[in-house]
Amino acid sequence: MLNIVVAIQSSIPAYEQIKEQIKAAVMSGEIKAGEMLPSVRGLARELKVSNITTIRAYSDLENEGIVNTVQGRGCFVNALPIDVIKEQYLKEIDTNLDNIVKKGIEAKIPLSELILKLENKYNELN
Amino acid sequence: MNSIEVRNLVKKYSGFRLDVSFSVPAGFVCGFIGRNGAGKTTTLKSLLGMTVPDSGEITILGKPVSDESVKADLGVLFDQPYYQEDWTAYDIERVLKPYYERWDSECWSEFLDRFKLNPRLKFKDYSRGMKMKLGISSALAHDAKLLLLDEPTGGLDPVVREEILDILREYMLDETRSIFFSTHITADLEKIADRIVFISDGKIVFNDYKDTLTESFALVRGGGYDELRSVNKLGGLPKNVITEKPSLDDIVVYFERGNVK
Repeated sequence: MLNIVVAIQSSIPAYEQIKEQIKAAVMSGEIKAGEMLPSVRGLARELKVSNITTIRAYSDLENEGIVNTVQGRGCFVNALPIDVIKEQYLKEIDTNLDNIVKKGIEAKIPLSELILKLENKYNELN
Repeated sequence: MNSIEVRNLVKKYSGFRLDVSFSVPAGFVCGFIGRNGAGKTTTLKSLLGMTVPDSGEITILGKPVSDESVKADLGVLFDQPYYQEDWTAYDIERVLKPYYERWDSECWSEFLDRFKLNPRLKFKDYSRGMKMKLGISSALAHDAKLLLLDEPTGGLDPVVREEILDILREYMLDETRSIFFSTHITADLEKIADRIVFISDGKIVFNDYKDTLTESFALVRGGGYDELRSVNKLGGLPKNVITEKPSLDDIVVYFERGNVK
């Protein structure tokens, strides 16, 4: 069963949190291509959020090409959702790298030190 | 399809004029907010045909409000259910059942069980929370398509409030159902409402999705500022001013004070 938690006090909107957690579940293989997501209303009830919140999360995922809603049947994970999400993640990485490298150049930190920092962080989180 | 459609509803009292038009799409929970005396109860009573408006047209679930068959699809709770003080849950069922074609006795007794409502107790001996649960159970037992609730969680402790919200969430699992409820407890709206209708001084100020309301305004404070601004008018503010996302309470308060730019 898909495990989603919504932090109510968070500055990140609930629909965004739901969306990101579903993406993460797809990336980790917890949900696979072709599998059905919980119903929007069932999920809203379980997470104690309004129906419109889950409707918005699912419709965003649909617009991003990750899921597909079949009227009257449910919401299914598309084929190859990992490729779609990976592409999104890569874009995000590019934006973040821009910031990191700019800051590094401004502070005159040598490239070798930046690479080392990246390596250490990677090992720490992986 | 709209669960509620109100067109040019006008009702005049001395010193007060209600003049509203709004519609509520089916399948959603819609909160009805505004301060005391803004026209909420008059609007709700007009929806039920309990008040005769001076003019206007009201459609409920696609039928004019005067159509008797509308009643079978409505579940109504005003402040607390109107049952005789010495009725037990048995009496309530006996009285209500003949009025509702779709009354489901099994569903009714399941709810009594689940909410631990002793069917032998008299109505007057139930706590306020239990009375509300009894009222909601009866609306659910006759398979209402639209719940019209006036302050359903008012005067209840947080635990019972959450229980009531849970029942409403369960009710909304069926997408053909709708809820329209007035409340001052904006925390409940944050938890359950999809849409908000905001009434002020007899006029509708806002009718849209909840997120659209909170995302279209920013609270602007500091440096001599203390107001609500439309998010597309945030340019050119001095640096020492902070802008933040308003709560529903903030929105009501600033609108009522007239501090909205």
